[in-house]
Amino acid sequence: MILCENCFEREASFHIQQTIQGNKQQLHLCQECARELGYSSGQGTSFLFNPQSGGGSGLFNISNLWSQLFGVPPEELSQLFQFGQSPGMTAGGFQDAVSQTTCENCGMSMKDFAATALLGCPQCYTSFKESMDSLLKRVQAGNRHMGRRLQGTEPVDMAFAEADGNEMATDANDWQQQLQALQEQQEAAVDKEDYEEAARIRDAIRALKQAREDKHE
Amino acid sequence: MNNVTPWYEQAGPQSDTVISSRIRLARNLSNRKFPNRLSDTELQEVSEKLAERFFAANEHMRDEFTDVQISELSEEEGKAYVEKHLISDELLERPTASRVLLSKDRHISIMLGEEDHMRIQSMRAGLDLLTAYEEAVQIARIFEEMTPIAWHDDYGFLTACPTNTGTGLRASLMVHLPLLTDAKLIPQTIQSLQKLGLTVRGAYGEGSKAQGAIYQISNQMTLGFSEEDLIADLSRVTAQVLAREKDLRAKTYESQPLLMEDKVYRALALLRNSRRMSSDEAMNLISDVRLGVDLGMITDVEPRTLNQLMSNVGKASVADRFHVDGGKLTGQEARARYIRETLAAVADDLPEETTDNDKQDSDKRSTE
Repeated sequence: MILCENCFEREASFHIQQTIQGNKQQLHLCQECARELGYSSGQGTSFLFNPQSGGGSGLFNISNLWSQLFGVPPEELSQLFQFGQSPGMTAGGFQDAVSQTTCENCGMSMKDFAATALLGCPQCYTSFKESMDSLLKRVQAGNRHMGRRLQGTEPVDMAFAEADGNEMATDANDWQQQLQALQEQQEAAVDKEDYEEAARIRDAIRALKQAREDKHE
Repeated sequence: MNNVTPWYEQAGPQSDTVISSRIRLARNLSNRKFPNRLSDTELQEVSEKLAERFFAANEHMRDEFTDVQISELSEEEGKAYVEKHLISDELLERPTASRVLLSKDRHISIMLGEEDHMRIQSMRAGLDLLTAYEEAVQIARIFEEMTPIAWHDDYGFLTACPTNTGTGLRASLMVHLPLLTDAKLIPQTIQSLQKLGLTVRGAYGEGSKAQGAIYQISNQMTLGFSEEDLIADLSRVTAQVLAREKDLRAKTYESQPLLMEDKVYRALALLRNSRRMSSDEAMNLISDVRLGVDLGMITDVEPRTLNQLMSNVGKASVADRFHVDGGKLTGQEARARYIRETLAAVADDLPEETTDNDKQDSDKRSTE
C-alpha cells in the first residue's frame, strides 16, 4: 500500500508521472488530496485547468498561476501528465470542474476560469466557494483575509444596493440624523442580543465618523 | 506630454540601491462583472462612472488629478506612459474602455478598466513603502466611500484573478544591483527570494532582460497576511539583498579601484559625447554612472538627474518626446542629444520639448 504523499494518512489512488525541470517524478495522492490540490480524475490526460493561453495580468499571468500550482509552465503541462488510476477507483475528482456549476450572476463555469485564470464577477467567489477555498489555500498564504477590512459592509451580495442613491452626507444635519439612526439600531441589536449585528452597526458608525473626520481635515 | 516627473526630485532613503517604492491596490465594484466579462461599452461606462465618483469626492481632486482617456493617447504616448511605469501594458489593450487618473507630480496613478475595475498605484523615491501605502490607502478609501466595493468576509477585497484577492496589495521595490548582476548572482538570488514569497523581474527591457541591472522585487501573495506584514517582509528580505550588493561594491572597489573607475568614467564620457545611442546602451551606461555616483566617484552628476534620464530614454518616450518618425537612427540620435544636453545643463534649466528648428533639422537629416 502506498501512502498519499500529501497527507500521509490515506492510501494513494492517484499515481501521477510528471517531469519537473528535467527530472521525472512520480506523485502519489489519495482522492481527497488530489481533489484539494487540483488534480481531477478522469480518463487519459484530463486535468483541472486547461493550459491554454490567455488572460491574467503581467506579473500574475496564467503561466505564473500554473507554475505555482503545478511547478511547470502550461505549455509543458499537457505533454507531461499521465494519469494512472488504481483499479476499483471511482471517479471522484474536483466537483466543480467536473460538474456543470456556473455562477448564478455571470454564468462563468470553472472550465472558463481554467482557460483564463480570471473569474467573472465578485459573486463567483461564493458560487465556487469550495474550489476557491482550496485554490486559495494552494496559491496564497492561506484562504482567510488577515488585512485591512472594508468599513461597515456586508459580505458580497449581488443585491447590494447601488451607491447611486447613497450620496455621502455632506450636510451636518443629515450626518447627525444618520448617526442617531445607526445608534438606535445598535441599541436595538444589543437588546435582542444580536451581537454580530451590533458589531456591524458599530463598524458603520465608525465609518461614518471617519468619513466626517476626513472631510474636515 | 509633460516629461518631467517631479516626484523623482528627491533621491529618497537608501537611494544608492533602492530607486523607488511602489504600492498597488486592486479594487472592484461589487455590482458589476469583472472587466474580462464586460464589453468595451460596459467597461467604458464603469471607468467613466468611477472617474466621476472620484472627482465628486472633494473639490480639490480636479486640481490634483488629470483624467486621461487611453483612446486619446497616440500609440507612442501610451507606450511612453508604460515605460515610465505610470500604466501597465494591459491598460492599452482596450483603449476605448479605459482611463487613468494621474496626480500632478505623477506619483499617484489610478488605472480604471484594467484587469480590475480600479488599480491604485502610489510611488515614492527610495525605500519608502509605508508612505506609499498610506497614500494608496487614502485613495482606496475615497472609492470605498463613494462606491460599493466587492468584498468577502473570508476573502477580503475581491479581484478578477484569485492571485490578487485579499489585500489586493502588490508592494514593489525597484532596486539597482550592478555588482550582483556582474557576478552572475542574480539567478540564485531570484530563487532564494521566490522561496520566501517574493518575485523578481527586470524593471526595464522586455522579457527576461534586465536593462541597466534594475530589478523589481514584489510580494507574490496577497491573502493570508496583513498589509503591514507584507510590506515588512518585502523590506526585510530585500534589505538582505541590498546588503549583499553593497558589500560586493565595497569589496570590489577596494580590490580593483582602477577597473571600477575606468568603467564608470568611460560610461560618463559616452553619455556626455555620443551622437547616437540605443535605449539598451543608454540604460546600461546610466547604470554604470549611477554606481559611480553612489560610490562617490562622480560628484558632478546628481541621482535625480539620472532618474530623470532613466525615465525618458525609453524607445517610446524618445519617439513621443521628439516626434521621431524616421527610422531607428533618428531615435538614437535624438536620445543621444537629449542625454548630452541634460547632463550639460544645470539642474534647473533642463530642456523640455525640442524647438521647431530642432525638429526640422532632424527631419532634414533623415531624408538625406
